[in-house]
Amino acid sequence: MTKILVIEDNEKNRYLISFILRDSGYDVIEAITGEEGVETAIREHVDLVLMDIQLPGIDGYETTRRIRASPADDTIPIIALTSFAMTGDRERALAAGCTGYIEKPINPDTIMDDIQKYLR
Amino acid sequence: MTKILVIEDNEKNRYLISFILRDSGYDVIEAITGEDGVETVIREHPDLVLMDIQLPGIDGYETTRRIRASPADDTLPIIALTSFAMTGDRERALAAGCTGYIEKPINPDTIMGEIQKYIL
Amino acid sequence: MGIFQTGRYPASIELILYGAIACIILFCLYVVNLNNFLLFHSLVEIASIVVAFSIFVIVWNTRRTITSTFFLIIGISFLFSGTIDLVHMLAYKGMSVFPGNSADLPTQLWIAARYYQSITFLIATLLIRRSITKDRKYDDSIILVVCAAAFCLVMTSIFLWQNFPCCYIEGTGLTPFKIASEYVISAFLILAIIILALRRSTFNPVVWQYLIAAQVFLIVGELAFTTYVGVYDFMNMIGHLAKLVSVYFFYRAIVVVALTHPLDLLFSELKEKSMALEQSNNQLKMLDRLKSMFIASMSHELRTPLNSIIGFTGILIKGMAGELNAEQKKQLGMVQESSRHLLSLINDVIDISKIEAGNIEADISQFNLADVFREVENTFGPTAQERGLVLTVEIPESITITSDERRIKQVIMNLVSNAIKFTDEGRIGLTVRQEGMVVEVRVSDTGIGIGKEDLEQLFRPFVRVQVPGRFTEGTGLGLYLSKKLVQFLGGDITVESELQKGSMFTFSFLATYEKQEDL
Repeated sequence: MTKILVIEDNEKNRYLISFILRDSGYDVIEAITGEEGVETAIREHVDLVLMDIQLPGIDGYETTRRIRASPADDTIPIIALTSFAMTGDRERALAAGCTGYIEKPINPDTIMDDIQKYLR
Repeated sequence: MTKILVIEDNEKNRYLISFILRDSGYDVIEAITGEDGVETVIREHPDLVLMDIQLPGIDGYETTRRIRASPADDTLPIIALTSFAMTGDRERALAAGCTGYIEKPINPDTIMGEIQKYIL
Repeated sequence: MGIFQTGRYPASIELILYGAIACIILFCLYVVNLNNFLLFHSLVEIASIVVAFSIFVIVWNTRRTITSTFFLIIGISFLFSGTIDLVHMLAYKGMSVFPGNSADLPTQLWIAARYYQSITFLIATLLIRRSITKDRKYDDSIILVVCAAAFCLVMTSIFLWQNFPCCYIEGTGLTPFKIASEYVISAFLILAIIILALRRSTFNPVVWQYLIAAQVFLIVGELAFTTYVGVYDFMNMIGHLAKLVSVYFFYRAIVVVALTHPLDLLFSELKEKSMALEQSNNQLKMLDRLKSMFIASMSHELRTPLNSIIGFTGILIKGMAGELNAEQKKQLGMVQESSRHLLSLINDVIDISKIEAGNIEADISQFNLADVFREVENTFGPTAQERGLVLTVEIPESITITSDERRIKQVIMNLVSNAIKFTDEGRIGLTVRQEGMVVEVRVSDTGIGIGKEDLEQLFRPFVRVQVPGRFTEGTGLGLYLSKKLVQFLGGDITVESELQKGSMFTFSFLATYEKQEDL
């Protein structure tokens, strides 16, 4: 079964995304901080990472960089969840190594389609 | 049965308030404009008026003044629903003849408690 | 910069150059002195007088920009002390200009000139940074008058009244008065030097050095003049040379102040002002940064709760958390609509804050306008159909745009959404046309139209067209924001409308984004 890692510190958001993913049949692992996320990515060999940019401690960009630098598979799709507060957020995500980005607040109707694009 | 007149132009807000009132066992009449409201008061003799301040055409203050000026009962409780956007909204409501005011957005848990104070 | 340097050549070269020239001149004069003292004397005095008059000319002509009482007094007094020295030269023994051929007259004139010079100098030092009249308005005239009066008094005393003390007695030499006077004059000068030293900070350092040097040489000259016996003596020559050197240093000081640094005083004010300006500039930059940080964090904070609201109502409505009854679905539907409305409000407000703060930056990418049109059709097609309207989107073949895709999409969606809102029957059309670098998008409808009075206010913020009986959710920001965004992208938005007939909104933008100077 496809394993998805969700890195999000906000409890409600985490619950929301995990609920939708599990409802669609995916296996979901959760991490609350960037550091935890990097460890989990290495340990669990996930098929996709869904990650909030705004995290306590190291932010999403740094988390992505570390995952890419780790022995974890370079082809892991890392999708950034960002509210595009500042211009250049898009470029920063891609520059840090993100495969793609999804805008927040997430749209429960379209989120699965957006994610499944990366699970080819 | 106690009759309550709801004067509110926003469809969703009107539905919401009416729903809660009916659920509590009250008979609800609805009006969409201030003018409509004044006519309905004279015609239907409600026991209480719940009125949004922000209305198209004549606003809530003017509606209250006209109701007070009409042959309708002077002891009719008129409650203003106001978002207190500007300082002095409170005073204006009382000066126009309102018996009291409730702040928006309304709290579904407490609204009935607040309204029942005025229904004696 | 040292005392001899003008800064145009390397310092050491200037020093050597000036030193060499000085030595050559002094040596020549010495040679002349050996052969013909009178010639020597005349040359030295003429040199001094010419320089003295030059000082006056410079100071008098720049008296408005020299905001220094000190230099005004020195400069103006040189006209008169120079004149006394001129007369002194003409009266020198052997010149045969004045009758009597006595050595007393030139000596008296010399002493008179030195008293004049030293006293005016002392007074000048006492008036450093002070003005005589308010704002120094009449200072120059007053100084001129007083100097002239003093000059007249001295000359009258020497020539007319003949009551100026005797300075030289043929055969005996200098009188006690004369010798004492030299010491008194030196005392005045030393006092002046002390005051100058105390007020050192008010002067440009180079100028201050020149002034001190001038004084010192004057004093040297005066002391030399206490020792000679004959007017053609060696010490006499030394004294004259010292005076020449002193006048030269005064000249340098005045030249620096008047011509190269006339606004020395003003410069220090300017410096203070420019430092204050820099400080407020830095403060403004910091405020700007804080503003954009505030907007960014507000943007994030305001959107965060909406994650839950939009997300969970979506899940509930889809029945993902369990089957819902019709009433539940209906109510959740209303929540969903309201939360979407709230989100677009927040986005609009954040956008407007960014624009107003001048913080907005274009997110430029290359995209196909046809894709945007397709997306608009998919988004609004169902809504139009529900209201019984026909939405016709003329999707172009392929138009490559290098601009802010998101914002262009925003404007189109704003216009189409408005069109649907205000049309009860008929059709809404979306078309595009490109002419060179300009792309023109048009949204037309057969709706209720817009009246003339409302047309004027249409693009103003927080102005909503109130149609009686028709409740529309909106902020009044949509068109205002659209206009600002379109202008930001190099174009503009216009509207044509007739009540009951319909409206046509046209907006244009550059196919390839160019940064606009002013919004």
